[in-house]
Formats: sequence, structure tokens, C-alpha cells
Amino acid sequence: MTASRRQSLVEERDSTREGRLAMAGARAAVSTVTLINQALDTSGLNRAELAAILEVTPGRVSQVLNGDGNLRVSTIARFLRAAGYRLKLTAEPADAGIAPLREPASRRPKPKAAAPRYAALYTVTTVTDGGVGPEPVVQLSRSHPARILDRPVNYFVVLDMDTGVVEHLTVHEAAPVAVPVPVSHG
Amino acid sequence: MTKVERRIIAAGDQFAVECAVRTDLSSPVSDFLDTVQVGTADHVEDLEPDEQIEWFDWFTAACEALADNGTLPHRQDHNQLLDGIWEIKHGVLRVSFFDTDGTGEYEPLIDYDSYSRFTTRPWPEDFCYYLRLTTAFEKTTPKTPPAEIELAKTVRTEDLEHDRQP
Repeated sequence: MTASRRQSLVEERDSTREGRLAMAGARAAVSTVTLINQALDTSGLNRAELAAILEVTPGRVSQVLNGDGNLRVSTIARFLRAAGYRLKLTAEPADAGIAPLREPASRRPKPKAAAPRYAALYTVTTVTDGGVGPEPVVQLSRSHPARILDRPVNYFVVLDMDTGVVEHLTVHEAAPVAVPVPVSHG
Repeated sequence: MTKVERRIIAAGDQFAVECAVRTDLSSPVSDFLDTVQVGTADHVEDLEPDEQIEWFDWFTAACEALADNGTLPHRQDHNQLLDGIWEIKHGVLRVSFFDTDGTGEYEPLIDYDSYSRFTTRPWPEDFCYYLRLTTAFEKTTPKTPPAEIELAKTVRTEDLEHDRQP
């Protein structure tokens, strides 16, 4: 069954700028009250329990649930959160020719490598020649001059940041380098 | 008596909310809405003009939601007054209504005594498609004045008579 196609009061209000704006506010108020009541009903909480969580009077809860007066967005969010829900705002085109909102630009997702690897510039502070095995034993520091066998060096290290295991070392007899060295993953 | 065109407040998939029309073709709720829309309803003592306009906007949007979704925003926004005369409640104002299938017939869905025993005031899911608004009044006492209910029943009787005309 359908009603006749004579203009309804709602359509009449939507046909003027003033009416559209007034109806936008009223629709938001009606939708908000509907939403808060749905959240409370679904949560299983009663008004007294909701009032206790929010630390407000039961009268204030009734006022909000009945839609008496204008509500702040923060009040709506607090009531929903107390009932276990998070307020999510969105907007859609209301007029012909109005474009949908642009999605905010998002960063490219980072590849989920098993163990991210980084390169960093370290300086060598002490070297013990003739330690265990053929390689020199080094201690790393970012803050002290580097010397290996009494020679100043730059020391590049590629290490697994999760485990701290040094995967690759390069020693240069060169002027100090001031920036970290990027490396490709994998 | 001839077929009348009732003022439509909102029409949707669930309901058409219309203003009931009396034998003399007057419509109490339509007249009331015209005055409250501009804040000049003189028999509404507790609402300032801007509050009347705010109420009008809420009522219009609530009727739209009712027509589209089948329910009012809050379960305590409605109540059965007596014998199938219901009311939409918001603030101090009340708008009475009844439901009909548009053929001029009417039968209450649920008797008042049974309904009054519900604590949560359920919204009947089997209301007919047409919800006709009969009267509007300010609630100033705990109980609705019997004269208001009788007036609503009279408006209902006269309105349904229009539907029975060939």
C-alpha cells in the first residue's frame, strides 16, 4: 500500500533552504536519540546502571534518552561509550552534484618482513686484536671517536633490530659519515 | 460528504502519517502544526516561540523516521490513551492518533487494560499503514484529560466516515 504522491510536510520542508537546514538538525536529534536508546537496549544496562557508570543522575540519563534539549557531541559519545559502543561520525552527499567526501590519504602499508633490518652508522671505541677467532672484537658506540688498531675509522653495521644480532660489518678508513645508511629489506 | 485529501506529514515504507479530517473538513492537528511551526500556538503555555519551532522540527523528523523505519526514536515516545487512541509524546506536547487501513474500518489492536499492564509500552508491530493524527494538546496534568480523549475519538469517527464515501 502506498500513500498518494501529494507533497508531504517533510518534502515541503526539504524544498526550501531554511527548511532543509532545520530538518537536518531535527533529523540528527531524532537519529541520536534512536542510537543512544538502541545502544542502551542492546547493552542490557538499565538507566540506573548507566547513570552510575557516567556518574550522573538518573534524571540526566532520562533527559538524554528522551531527547530533551540539544546534546553535545561529547555527551553522545560518553553515553555510547558507557553502553559499550564507540561513536562513529560520517557524512554523505545530500544534494545532487555533491561529491562524496574524499578518503583521507593513507600511508602505504609497510611490508611485513619477518625481521626488519636496518643499517646504522656506529663508531668503534675499542678493539681487541687477537681475541677469539680471526675477527677483531669490537664494542660499538655512537658517541666516541672510532679507532681500530689506533686508526680512526667509520664503522657500518647491519643488524637485526629484533634480536640485536650483527649481520654485516664494514670498516672504512675515511672521514666520518653523519647519516645512517639505508638498506633494502630482505 | 466527499472524499477528502488529508495533509500528509510523512509517507514511507512502513507508514503514512496523515492529519485526520473532521466532517467540516477542518483538521485540528494540521491547524496546530501551522501555528507551532512559526511559534504562535497560543494555547501552548509552557513553550516559548523558539521552543515551539524546535518541537515542530523534532515532530516532523520523528514522523519521517516513523514512516521510514516503523518506530519512534524512543519506546516512551508513545502511549495508548484509550480504545485505540494513541499519542506521540515529546516534551510537554502530545499528538493523538489512530491507525487504519484506509477503508473506513477501525478496530483497536489491543485493549487498553491489557496494554496498560505492560511496563515497557510496546509499539504494536501490526499497526495498519495509515496513522491519522487526531488532536494535539499540552500535557499539564499527570493524567490526560478525558475531554481530550473523547475529542480524539470524535475526530476519528468523523475522519473514517470520509473513507466510507463512494
